[in-house]
Amino acid sequence: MRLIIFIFSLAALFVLPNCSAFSDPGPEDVIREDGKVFIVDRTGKRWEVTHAESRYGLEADKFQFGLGPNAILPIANPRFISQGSPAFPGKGETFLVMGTEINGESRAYPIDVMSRHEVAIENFDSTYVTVAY
Amino acid sequence: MQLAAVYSRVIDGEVLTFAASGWTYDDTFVLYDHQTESLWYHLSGEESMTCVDGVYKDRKLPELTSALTRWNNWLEDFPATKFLDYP
Repeated sequence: MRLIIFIFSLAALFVLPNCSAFSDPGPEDVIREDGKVFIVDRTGKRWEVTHAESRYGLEADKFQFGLGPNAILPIANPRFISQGSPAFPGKGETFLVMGTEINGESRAYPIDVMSRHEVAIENFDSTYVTVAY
Repeated sequence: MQLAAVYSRVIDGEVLTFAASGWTYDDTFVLYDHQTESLWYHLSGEESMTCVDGVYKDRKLPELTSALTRWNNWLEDFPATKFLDYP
């Protein structure tokens, strides 16, 4: 039993530092070809960042995570509740929210939900917005 | 820095839909639009989101006023507020 633990500890020592999730969450690959720069995410998708790098100084190898475009799904067609609804939070609650008021309508987005989805695809009548966190 | 912001998503009369690209840069989200898969990023010091690469490169989508606050404070300031009910 001790030997097994020892082997596992040894393996962890060598394997973990090389595992991207623990040490380096940067791109899987950075490809530079024909004057273009691409970063490759964990799904194998290539994203061109030539202009991002040359014009805005966003360095290709400093992009992080690269979970892929379907890893974090946006909130589409969000449903809202009003005061009086049983699920409407009490006035003493102190959790974090993002709030905005557009065209006279105010809406609050709890941060715990926003941190899971990053984006809500929204509109206030004919004002189309992205709520991002 | 974790950024919380609201941006317009209309450009040249076209309504875009955005999602997380799965990338972050300097701990801030990088978004992409479904229509062109351009990359969008909030450059520091600006009040907009800039298309840093792709079809709409160098175009900007202005930020609208929003607040990052606590529910009790928000409700006090906006008693008619609606609340996102999402699982």
